[in-house]
Amino acid sequence: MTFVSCSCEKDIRELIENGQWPLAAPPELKSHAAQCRTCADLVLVATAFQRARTTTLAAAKPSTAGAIWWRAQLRSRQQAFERIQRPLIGAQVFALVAVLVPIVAFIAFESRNLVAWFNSLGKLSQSAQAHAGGLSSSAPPGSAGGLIFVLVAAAMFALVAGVALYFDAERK
Amino acid sequence: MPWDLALPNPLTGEADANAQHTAAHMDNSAFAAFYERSARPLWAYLVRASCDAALADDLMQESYVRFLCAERAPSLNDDGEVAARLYLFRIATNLLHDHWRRPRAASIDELPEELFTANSTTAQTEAQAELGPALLSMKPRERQLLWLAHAEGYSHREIAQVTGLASASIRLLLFRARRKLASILRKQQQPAGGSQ
Repeated sequence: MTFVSCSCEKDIRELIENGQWPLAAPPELKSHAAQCRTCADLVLVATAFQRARTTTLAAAKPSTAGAIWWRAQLRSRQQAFERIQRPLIGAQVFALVAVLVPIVAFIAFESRNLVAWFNSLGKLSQSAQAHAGGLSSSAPPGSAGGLIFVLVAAAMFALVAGVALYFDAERK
Repeated sequence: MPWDLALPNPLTGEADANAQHTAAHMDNSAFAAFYERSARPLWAYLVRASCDAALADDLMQESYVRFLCAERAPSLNDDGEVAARLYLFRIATNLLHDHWRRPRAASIDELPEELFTANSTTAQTEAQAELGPALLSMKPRERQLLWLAHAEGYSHREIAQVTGLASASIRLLLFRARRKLASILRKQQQPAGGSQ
């Protein structure tokens, strides 16, 4: 399809958009539109669209502006909340990592002692007395301090989890 | 101050006081006036481009909400109503494209016409009308271009802003779409003319 432009297009288009076509159009422009394919297409299509626009605008039943404004306020509030929430989530993730990393490091560091400790627990399961005596004597050196460390880490984890739960409840 | 007090509360009338938080470019009364002037043309554009009145309702509301929440939306006072209206039509056009792309990952120009006209109440009610059946045989992009050019009276540059197409290609695309539609309309008119 070859693109063909016509110098009369602009004038014809203006007349149609102003509702002056064909009654108020100059006769020479009307005769030109009857002969020029490009302008004839323009007249046919543009007049059809102008009529369609009139009927479609009349059929439109938009909701109230207040309802839209209210929805936009809700959306805006939600977006603002998400902006505030973002650093909080980051802080929670950081706290979780800060707790988990020492625990994993401790387990890795104390793994050999812990294996020995568990083995001694297995041997001492034969009698309650031997178990009690063996537990106190076979505990590896330094494991008491390690247990305290684990307890502290668990407490920190519980604290962070509590804070996270609080913020989650607040959000809901 | 608790952080949630810094947020606007639409349920307590605080929304008006914090109007600048939602739409820095518009207040409530200015929006109501703008909405009054632009809602019907926007709905007409959406319903003619999509051939689905229910979809047009949804997309129109979403367009205004996004317009109000957009930080870079043109200001009525500074940029004028034309710029604000073009921005609004641009949002609506993007929403239409998103909707069409959602069912399958393909270009909207490659999608079959049936996809856009299925369950179309508007298409059914306007089947007798002059433009309805002809528009249904056009591609969505062509419907958009033709409506913006000949119903809304937008220039090629403005259509390029709304559709995101290159301004230079609008002229050719519009010419092709117009010629195609004119041929369809002439074919429609021929039987009627022959019977008289």
